Amino acid sequence: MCPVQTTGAATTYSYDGDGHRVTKTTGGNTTLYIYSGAGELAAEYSTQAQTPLCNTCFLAVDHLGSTRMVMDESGAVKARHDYFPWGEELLTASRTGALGYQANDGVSQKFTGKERDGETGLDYFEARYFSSAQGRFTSPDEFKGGFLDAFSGQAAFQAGPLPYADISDPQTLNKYSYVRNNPLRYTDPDGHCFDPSSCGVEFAGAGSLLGGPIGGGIGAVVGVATGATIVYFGVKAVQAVQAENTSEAEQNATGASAGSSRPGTLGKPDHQQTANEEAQKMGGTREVTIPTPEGQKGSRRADAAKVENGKVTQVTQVYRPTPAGNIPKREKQAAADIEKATGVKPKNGVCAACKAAMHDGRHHLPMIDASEASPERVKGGQ
Amino acid sequence: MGRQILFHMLPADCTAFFQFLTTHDHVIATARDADASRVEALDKPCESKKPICLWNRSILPSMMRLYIANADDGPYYRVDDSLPVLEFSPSIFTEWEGVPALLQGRIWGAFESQDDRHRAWFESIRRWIRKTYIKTDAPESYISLAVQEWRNTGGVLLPMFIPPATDAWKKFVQAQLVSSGKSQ
Repeated sequence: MCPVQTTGAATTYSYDGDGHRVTKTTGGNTTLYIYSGAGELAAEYSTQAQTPLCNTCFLAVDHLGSTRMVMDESGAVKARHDYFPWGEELLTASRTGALGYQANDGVSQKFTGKERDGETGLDYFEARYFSSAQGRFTSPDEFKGGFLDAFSGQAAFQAGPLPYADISDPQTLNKYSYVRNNPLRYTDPDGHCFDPSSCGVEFAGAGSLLGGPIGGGIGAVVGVATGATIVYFGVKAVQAVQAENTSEAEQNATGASAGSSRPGTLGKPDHQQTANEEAQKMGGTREVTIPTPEGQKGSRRADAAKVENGKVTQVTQVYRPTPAGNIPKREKQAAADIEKATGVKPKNGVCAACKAAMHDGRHHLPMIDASEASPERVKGGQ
Repeated sequence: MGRQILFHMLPADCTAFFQFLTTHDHVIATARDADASRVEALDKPCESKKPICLWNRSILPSMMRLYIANADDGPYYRVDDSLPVLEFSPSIFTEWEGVPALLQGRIWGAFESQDDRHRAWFESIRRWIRKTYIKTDAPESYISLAVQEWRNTGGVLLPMFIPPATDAWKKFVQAQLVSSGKSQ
C-alpha cells in the first residue's frame, strides 16, 4: 500500500505480488485493475461516475503507442492529444477545444500507452513511475530479488549497485533515465527495459499515424444505476485507422481479438500461441530477427522460421485479419521484406482467437502474397 | 513477447560463455528437439549446429520434452517455449560467395511463465555479454574480441541465416570488407 498526498486528497495504491497495481483509491473512489494471465491490463472498474465522450471509443496511437486521437463508433474524432518528446501533454493556443484538444475524454492511457494518474501526473510504467514533466523516472532502476543456487543456497546473482547498468555505456549509468534519453525512438514496456537488442521495442521512426482500436468499449457501460464506470481494454491490435468500423467493435466484443499488440511489439497470448504451434510444426524457431537491407524497415522478426544448414527453408507470419478479413498492410509489407531478404515466401498463420472467429463465418482468410504489399511507408514492427 | 540477445562468437568464446553459465548457475545444456522426452545434458554444447536449450535447474527443477505429434517431418519431442528456459542458437562458420562468414547466434526466451527468476537469469546473461562483448551495428550484434580480430582478417558477419546473393546483401557484405580493409 502506497499512500500519496497531493493537494489535500490522499490517494492509495495497492499492488499484487507481481508488482502490478491492482487498486487505486482517491477521494472515496476506487479503481480496480484486472490483469490477464499474461500479466497485461485487461479491464478497469471504477466507482467514479463519468460521462464518456462516446459509447464505444477507439484510440488511434502513434509509432510509440501514445494515444493521439479518441474516436467514436462512427469514426468522428472526439478528442486529440499531442505530446512533447518526453510525454508531457502539449497544449497551445492553437490546440483548441473545438479541435478536440483539452477534452476530458476519460482515457488515462497517454504517453506510450501507459496510464497517466490524474492525481500525480505520473505515468505508471509497472516497475516504476515516470514523470513526463521531468523526463525521468521518479525512482531508480533496481533489482529487487534473485534466485538461490540449488546446491549452495547462496544468492546466485548479486544485484550490485547498478544491476541494469553497463559501466562501459554511460547512458546506462543514470538509474533514473528513461530509454537512454531517446524517447522518440524507444519505449520502456515494464520500467526496466530499454535495450532494443533484448527488448525489441525500437521503432523505425516518427511520423505517420497508425490506428489502434483499443478496447471494445471504453466507457461502454457508464452511468448505470450505481454510477459505476467500466472500462474494458480488450484489444490493442494495430491496424489502419480507416479499417476501423462496426465489425471491429464486434470483433472486440466477442473476444475475437483477445490479446494485444502495439506498434513495434509482437502480439500477445493468442499470437504467441499460434507462433509457438507453427514453430513446433515446422521444427523451427520463434521470433527470428531478419535483417532486411531492401525493406521498409531495417529488420523484421519472423514469427516462426526454420533454418537448416544456415538456409532459411520456411517462414510463417502470424497475423490478425482486419474486420473485413483482409491481411493488414503492415503484415503484407513485413512478408515482402522477409521474402526479399531470405528468398523464402512466408506462409500465413492466423492468430488462434481469430481462427475461432473465422470459423464462425465472420471472416474469410486470404493468403499473404508479397506482391500485393503496399509500397507506402508503414510504421511499427512485425 | 520474447527477449533475445544477438551475438557472434567463435568456438573458444562459446566455451567461455558456457563456463560463465555453469559457474554462476546450475545450468544444463540439452537438445531443444529430440526423439525422446527424457532430457540429457549435452557433453559438448558448443559443437551443436542446432538450437539448444539452456535449462537452469535452480529455476526449473525438473523438465521433460513435449511430444509434437503433427510436425511436418513426423512426430518428435521438443522443450516447450512456455517453460522458464532459454534457447541458445550457436554461431556457425559458413561461407558466402567465397568469403568466410560467421552466422549470428542468439539467446532467446519466450518469457511466458512470468517467472521473475527467469527474467533475472536472462538479465545476468545479457549483462555479461554486454560487458564482455562489443556491440556492432551491421548486423546489429554483440561480438567477442576474437570475432573482431577474425573479422579484420576478412571474415564477414551474417545474420542467423545465409542470405541469398542479391545486390543488397552483396552491398551489406562489401561494406564489412571495406571497413576491414579486405575489399575485393
